[in-house]
Amino acid sequence: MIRTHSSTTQITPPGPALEHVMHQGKVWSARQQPCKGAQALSSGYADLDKALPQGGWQPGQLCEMYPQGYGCGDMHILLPTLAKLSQQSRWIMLIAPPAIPYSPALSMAGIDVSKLLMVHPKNHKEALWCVEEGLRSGHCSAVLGWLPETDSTAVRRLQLACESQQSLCWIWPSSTQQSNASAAPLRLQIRRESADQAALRFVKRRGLWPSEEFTLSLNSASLAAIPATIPSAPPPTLR
Amino acid sequence: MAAWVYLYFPDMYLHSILSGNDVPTVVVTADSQRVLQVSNLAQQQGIQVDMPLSNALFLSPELCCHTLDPEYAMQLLQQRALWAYRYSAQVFTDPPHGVWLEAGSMLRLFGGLTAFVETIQKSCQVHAWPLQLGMGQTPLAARWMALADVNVMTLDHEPQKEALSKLPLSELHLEDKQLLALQRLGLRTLGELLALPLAEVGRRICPALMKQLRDLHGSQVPPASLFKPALTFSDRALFNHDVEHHNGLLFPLTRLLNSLCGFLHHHQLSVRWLALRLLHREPPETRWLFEFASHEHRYDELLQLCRYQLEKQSLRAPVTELQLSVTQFTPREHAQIRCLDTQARKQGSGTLINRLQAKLSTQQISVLRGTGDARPEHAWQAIAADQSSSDAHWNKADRAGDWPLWLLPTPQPWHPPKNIVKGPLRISGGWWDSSHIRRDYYQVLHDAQLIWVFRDDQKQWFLHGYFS
Repeated sequence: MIRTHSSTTQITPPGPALEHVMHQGKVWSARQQPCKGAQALSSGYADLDKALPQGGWQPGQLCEMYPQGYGCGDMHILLPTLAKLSQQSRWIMLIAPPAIPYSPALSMAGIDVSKLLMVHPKNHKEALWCVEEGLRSGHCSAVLGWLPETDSTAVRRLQLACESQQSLCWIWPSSTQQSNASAAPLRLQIRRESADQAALRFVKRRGLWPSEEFTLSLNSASLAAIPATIPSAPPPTLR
Repeated sequence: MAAWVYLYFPDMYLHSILSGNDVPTVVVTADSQRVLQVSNLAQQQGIQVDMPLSNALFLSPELCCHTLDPEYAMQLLQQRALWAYRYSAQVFTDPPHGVWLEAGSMLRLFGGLTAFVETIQKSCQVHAWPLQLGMGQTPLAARWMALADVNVMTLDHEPQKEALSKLPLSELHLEDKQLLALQRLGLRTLGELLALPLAEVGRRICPALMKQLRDLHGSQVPPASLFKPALTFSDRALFNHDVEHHNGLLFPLTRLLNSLCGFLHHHQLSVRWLALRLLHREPPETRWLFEFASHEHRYDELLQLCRYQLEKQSLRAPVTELQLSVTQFTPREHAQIRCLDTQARKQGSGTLINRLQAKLSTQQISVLRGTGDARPEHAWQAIAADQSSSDAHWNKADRAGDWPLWLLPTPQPWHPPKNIVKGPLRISGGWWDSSHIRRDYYQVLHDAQLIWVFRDDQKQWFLHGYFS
């Protein structure tokens, strides 16, 4: 550690090389605390809330999901949140879902199916545009995107869009992307342990260390855990 | 102050078809029997109005004849009324040749009667329309002044009365029968007629004339229909050089949209589609229809939507002219943003779909709907996003864990499962239509995934969904 000679501690301005790296966003400075814009939304699972940095899904923070296959329970852990969000008059956008969202199952989980807007883009470029448009428009309470071709640049863009409107966003990149660095504040690995249990591990949590793997009982969701007041979204702005 | 201006366009039909003055031209009745309107050149050769066509042709063998098309004549008058609409809010059409303008309320705007009349006359000169203008305190007075081509530039009572009394009766477009009766009585001017007691005129000459004479001093309502301009918007942009790429269209389109938005704001309307016409050097022209999922009136939003739509289009050939027209409008919803803000959000949800549809295609965006059918393939429906309705057929408590979140579009053949977690769940139905099914569904843990497989009547196994 370098000590300055003066009695008061001075912050030395970063050199050009460091500045360059900071400009690229590769260094996280402790002064950039996650913004406290909106209140975190409880996931409905007590164990999951404990593992999430703000005690719930934080609007404005993109989450990358890495399930092992389709039948791992990755959608299941979002159901209580989506059910609560579907009470708003805004859309929940599903971009390029891997299969048909089975509406009876969603209805039974308490989701108003008519709020689900499904978009089937023709290619990856369109899919990215849709996610970003959904996030930036402010007309979506949540955006869920299955983007197997996404890369770190695209994720950074989406995270910025997510932050600008304080939206909720989950994306499913391909599992090969998992080893690369990402600008997403949350990265979650999911593995099914048994019929009603899933093993979760946060590979990255902004503000906390990566978590150990923990087991979540998928039947333990309680809708009561979600606060009655939904964090209000900023008014829709037009570009 | 009550003030009326009557614009009389003599021989309007003839002037609209007259190209040059080199050929004597007449307009004849639809049955080609009588001459209706005569050009100056034809007049010099002795052709007169109401002459039989055969006589006219005898006088001038090279005579150019046009048959009067009543529909076109009406269109012409409507065009004149539309033109007159910029000078007065109340325009009345008086077929076949005249237009009334209510002037009293416009005088302050134009700065007096003289300025008002001069503006109109100047505009007529620009269009090269022959015009006879008359003004009066009642519509009828103005009309008679115009027909007799007497222009007293004042609305004061005395000069008006004096001018009216001097009008020759033969110029007032009275019915032949009435005019004949008046001539038999030895009456030549309006003043002489007005001097007679009204009741006597009604009894001896014609009751209709009595009514007209009464209106001359009283009635403020013209005996005609109020002209309302048709509600359409159309504007065009001419290019100095050919536009070869759709990006080049964006800039002129910006201007057109700006003027459209001004129109929409003025009338408090919104649009659901825009029609664009692109003219090329060689026909055919290109027509694009930009449709939106919901009504829109904001400039920024319309521009953005048009930009997305333009990106999808490709130009067949370089464009020389761009026309934008809208003929259907919807009144704007008076969106009063409430405290709870639900209305604004609702409007917003339409905006998002508008944008998505403009960028992608309508088929790519859908909303789910439960149908209540027991068969998984029929339990859901994807409907177009702009006609979504909220109707939940399923109630929550009904065995929430039994259904998968992902359903495969078509079941995939599967091997007999080993690790059955739950089942069977018998689903049987569809005897009422052709797709009858009877299946036993099982929840199976396979390769660390919970999947939904079924066995059908033929003991075949299929994968149908994932418990995600």
